[in-house]
Amino acid sequence: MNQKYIRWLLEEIPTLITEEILPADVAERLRQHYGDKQQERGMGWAVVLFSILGAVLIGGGIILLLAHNWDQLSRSVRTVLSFAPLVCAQVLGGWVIWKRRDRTGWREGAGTLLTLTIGSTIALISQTYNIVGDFGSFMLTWSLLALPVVYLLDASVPAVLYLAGSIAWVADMRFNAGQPLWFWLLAALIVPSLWLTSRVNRYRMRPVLMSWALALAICIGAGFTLTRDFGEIWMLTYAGIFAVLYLLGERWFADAANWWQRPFQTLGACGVFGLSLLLTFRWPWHEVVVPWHGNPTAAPLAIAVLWPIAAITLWLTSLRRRQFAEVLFGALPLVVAIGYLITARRESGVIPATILSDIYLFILGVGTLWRGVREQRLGVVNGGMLMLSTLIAMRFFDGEYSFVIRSLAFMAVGLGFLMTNMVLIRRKGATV
Amino acid sequence: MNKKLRLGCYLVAVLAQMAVPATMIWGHERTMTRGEVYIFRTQPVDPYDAFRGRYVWLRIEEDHAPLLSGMQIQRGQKVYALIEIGTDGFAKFSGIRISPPQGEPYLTARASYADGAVVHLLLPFDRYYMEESLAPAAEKAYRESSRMGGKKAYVTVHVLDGTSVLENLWIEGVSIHDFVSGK
Repeated sequence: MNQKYIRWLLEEIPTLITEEILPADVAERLRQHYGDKQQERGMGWAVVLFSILGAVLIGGGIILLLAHNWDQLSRSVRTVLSFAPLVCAQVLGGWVIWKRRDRTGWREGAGTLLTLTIGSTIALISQTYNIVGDFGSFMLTWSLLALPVVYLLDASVPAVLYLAGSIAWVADMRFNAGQPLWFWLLAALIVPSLWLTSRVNRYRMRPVLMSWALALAICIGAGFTLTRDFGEIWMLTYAGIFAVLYLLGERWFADAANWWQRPFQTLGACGVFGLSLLLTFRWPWHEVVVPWHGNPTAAPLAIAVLWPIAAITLWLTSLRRRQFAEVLFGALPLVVAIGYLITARRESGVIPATILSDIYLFILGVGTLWRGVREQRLGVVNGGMLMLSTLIAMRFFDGEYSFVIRSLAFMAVGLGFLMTNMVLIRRKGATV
Repeated sequence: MNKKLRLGCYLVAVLAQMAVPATMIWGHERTMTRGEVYIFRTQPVDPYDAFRGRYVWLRIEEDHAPLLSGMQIQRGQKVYALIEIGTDGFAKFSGIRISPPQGEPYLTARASYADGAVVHLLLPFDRYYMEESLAPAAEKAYRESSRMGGKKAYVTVHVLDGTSVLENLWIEGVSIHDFVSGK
């Protein structure tokens, strides 16, 4: 059962006893049953976390010990010592598959240790034999060798390490020659593992951790893969990525109890807010006015455009289902696309595009605030307030507009607030 | 997936994990035994690598090659640098090719940047690993001795089919280990 419901049930028990809906002995049994479950879960996670921490510390210690490069030892002894941690971790991994496959702590700990020792052995052999190699191929080799560990040991920390390695590789590709687009294939290779882990309960720590890592990897990876040849298209691509993350999250993680259990929505919403705020400034739109300097080929262009297309497709289904929050957050790619049409090759279009972004962010803030009030969710109310106060603060200190324009805009915003307030009061049937 | 199949797949993954470093050693040994030896003049500096420990960074003096007119090179592009031995006995690069040359000694490297008619290369032997305490001592000893008498440092490199293996770092004919320990 979802943690949120268990917590709710435990909080309701005293009222149910007082109002004589539930006999005290039944209530006690319920409390013991679900209370124990919660405690067990907490204990279970402590074991898993200690296993992972232990594996990380042991792996790190081995790397540091061998990195000393013991000069007294012969090359063959150092070679054996470099392989030893890998072989031990491999044997441990095999034993866990055979004997302890049902224990998360063992799987995570052994998987983490094995992933770390794969990298350390390659690095130490490079050191022993003075084989330099380039950083990008080292990270790629390490990541690909760690990928089977994710699936065969069914472990989430190796998946996070794999994604981190893929990011390091794509960063190297971005600044040196190479094809960074392969990053999308590397990221896609982890998706089946996320699906397998999420099947039973997607709100558990492991699928949530993997979802956070994947969502972050997509956001960072997009920057490295798509910005080299596409000066100005990044705004549309990122608008698409954030909207897709939010819309998918709303569909898959709708019943989460906390913000951290909604990785896609949280990251998507933060991204939509951050990008909208950025687009209220003139400089991003100036990039659209400047003629295209990049030398794009079909593949990166397809990926860059795929995200906004996917976002708009999802957004249309949200519109049909009348999902207010989804329509609001998912509209960013459309706003950016309209901004592009206004601004393309025209300096005169920059200010209208920033005003369009101001209006969008204002509607986003008010809409979030309204949703928070309607659903009585303080976190959402605070999110809406944060959006609006940031927008107001930005515009108050914005020297690009005259005092008269700013004062008129502020009065319009104030009127907007009052009108929203009136609508809210009427809906709730209250009086002032 | 049943337990036996899972363990079988795990065995394949484990073998692949062992094969990568083993292949690195095999390639190293093959180049060391069958490769031609070249000497490159260098300056040693001491940096740090969290994974692989201390090493002496080698600033190879002849790290560039003439660029043919009209040849377009991208930063990081894989190139094949032709090796020739100068009148002083040290190796240098006489040109670059974008495909492996036949019948000429060459080194596989990456282009760093082009400067007029010259392309600077990212060479695959730019670090020499040493024990934690010896690497900074090596740099210090080299700096002090070169200030006093202008000592020359160089590396010996084995090259086979474009692949290189760094054999040793020498200062005035003395290996760096002996130089640091004062033998």
